[in-house]
Amino acid sequence: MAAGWGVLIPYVLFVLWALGPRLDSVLSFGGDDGFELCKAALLARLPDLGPRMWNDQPWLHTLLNAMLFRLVGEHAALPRMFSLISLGALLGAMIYLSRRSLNFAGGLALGCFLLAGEGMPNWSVAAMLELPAISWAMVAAALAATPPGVVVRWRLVSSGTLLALACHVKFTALLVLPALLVMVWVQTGRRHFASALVWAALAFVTTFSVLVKLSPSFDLGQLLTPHLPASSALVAAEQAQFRPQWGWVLGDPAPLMAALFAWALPAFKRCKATRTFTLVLLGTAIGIALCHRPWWRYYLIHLQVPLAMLGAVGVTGLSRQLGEIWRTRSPACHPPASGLPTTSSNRHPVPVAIMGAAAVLALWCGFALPRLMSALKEMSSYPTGQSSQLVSVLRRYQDRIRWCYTDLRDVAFHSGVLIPPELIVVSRKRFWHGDLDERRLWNWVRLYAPEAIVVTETYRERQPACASWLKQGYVLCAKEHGQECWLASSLTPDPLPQTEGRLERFGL
Amino acid sequence: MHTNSDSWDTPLKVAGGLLLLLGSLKWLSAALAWGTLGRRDDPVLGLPENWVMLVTGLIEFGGAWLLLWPGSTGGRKAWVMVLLGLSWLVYQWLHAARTIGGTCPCLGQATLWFPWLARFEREVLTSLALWFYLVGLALIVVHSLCKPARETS
Repeated sequence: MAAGWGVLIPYVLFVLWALGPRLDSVLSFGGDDGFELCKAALLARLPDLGPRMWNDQPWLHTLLNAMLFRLVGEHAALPRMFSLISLGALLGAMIYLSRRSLNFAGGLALGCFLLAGEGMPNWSVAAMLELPAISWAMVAAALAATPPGVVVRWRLVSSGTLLALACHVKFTALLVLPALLVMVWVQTGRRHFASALVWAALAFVTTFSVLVKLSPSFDLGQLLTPHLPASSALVAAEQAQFRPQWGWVLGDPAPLMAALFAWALPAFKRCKATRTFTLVLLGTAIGIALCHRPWWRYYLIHLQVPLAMLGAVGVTGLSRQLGEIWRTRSPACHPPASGLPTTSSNRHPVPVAIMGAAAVLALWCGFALPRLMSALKEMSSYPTGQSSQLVSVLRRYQDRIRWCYTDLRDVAFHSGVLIPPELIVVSRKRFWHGDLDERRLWNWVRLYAPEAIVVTETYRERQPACASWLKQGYVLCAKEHGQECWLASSLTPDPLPQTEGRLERFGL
Repeated sequence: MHTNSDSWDTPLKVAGGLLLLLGSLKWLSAALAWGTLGRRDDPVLGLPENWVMLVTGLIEFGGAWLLLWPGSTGGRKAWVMVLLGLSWLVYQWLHAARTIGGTCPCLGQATLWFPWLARFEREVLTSLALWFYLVGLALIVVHSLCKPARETS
């Protein structure tokens, strides 16, 4: 319970910071923010076109957001708030899973470790899939956590159901599965494991099948192939560049250092199921980081979650020991004649506990806190829809624009225009696996004949297909940070002001 | 600490060892790049950097001697740690403010010899200064807690 109060402090502070007009108005909080917003907007307005959408992710998140968009309007804040809620659920699940090994300081540390992790402030408010998927998978694991030898059927059924839901947000939720299975095995023992597994698996399969039926499409090839390494050696070499940078993990040494102290904590040693779950989860995440390419930066969450759990257990051990020194004074003042003084629970020698606690606090303040502060500062200055010239031009003609082709999905969403279903997700993965190339892309564009096209100047100059299409009846109406907004002449748009055009010609 | 000099020596020995390392890095840097460092002025102290390295290295060696010397009491040693930590923090803050985010030369030329260190130089230095400050403070608190116990016994 005390750990719950501890974790609430950083979470509530972060939510108070995040909730505000910027949550809705910021163009994009993360790389994939725009994908999800545009997919949901299309599904909300034209649900019949859903099956035509190229989508390499399951549909649940998009379906939920589309439903919310239809109910309360197309606000970017809705999926972003869902990410914030998912973060709360994740913290709650982490606390519940290590409840017997945490105190107030441990809960506080857990929240601080996770929220100050590399990239975490962004992902916590971005309309992205990774955080909700891992969060609800962790909640599923928490539901399955019972006292040893006890099989609670409703909890296993709920766990299987929730894991299926998390999988329909993103398949990476399955990362939790090995740890979950091992935890249930440790809890139930060999005798009851099979029956426990049957209940959870039945719930999982049923929920998964129902969601497949509800999804606009379920093409396993489209869902799996783009995420696997490409067969072409050239592409594989390019994919290999997307690998974990160990500086991201080592740049956060406080939870690593605290995790080292978790080993000696008797409460953690006793909680065999929790310990096994955390370690298997960490092992799975490390295995994927080592073996899977492309490995995207937001996969760091997979490592940050178990490390924060272990770190929090370590902080609990250290804080209990320091508290004991403060209360009793005896271990520090009357050490045994031989060896180093220890507290009654015989964990670390007292001087080691003091040095360890100081090291964890100093490393967090030295590494994580400045990174968190600069991330929050940077996020406060992200461009908004109101400040974007491209958005204001597109909004002016919004009623007459049926389709817009752009790579800037955030701009399209905040302008209230739709991208053709086949062209919302134009990701690197599609090019890698040969589903798309520039020729096919521009064939799609010609087919839809969008009234608005937003591309970079360099792309237009490099791609003859783009330049030739734009020449056939488009007018350059706005330019911002190298991005050009072209509108169809049929809309009779105002061209880019002459003075600006003249200055442009002189390279000013 | 009077409680058990063997046990409480551990943090002081670690801190002393770190001070020896920092002092050595500074003196080695000063010896190997005396001319280069001499052409730059320290933005906080306004003195040539080679002399700053030499003097601060000397202070750190002095601190190490105080911490590792078995003669003086633990309470005084803890105060040395607190003062060193605080002075580093203040110096780093002033340096960052005057050089608009620059990193202090507290590790000497070590970042040139170990480029991987450069990426986290500021973070390492802040953590180190904070660690000295926090451990020193904790030792002072324990020392004061044990005072009544000592008097009773």
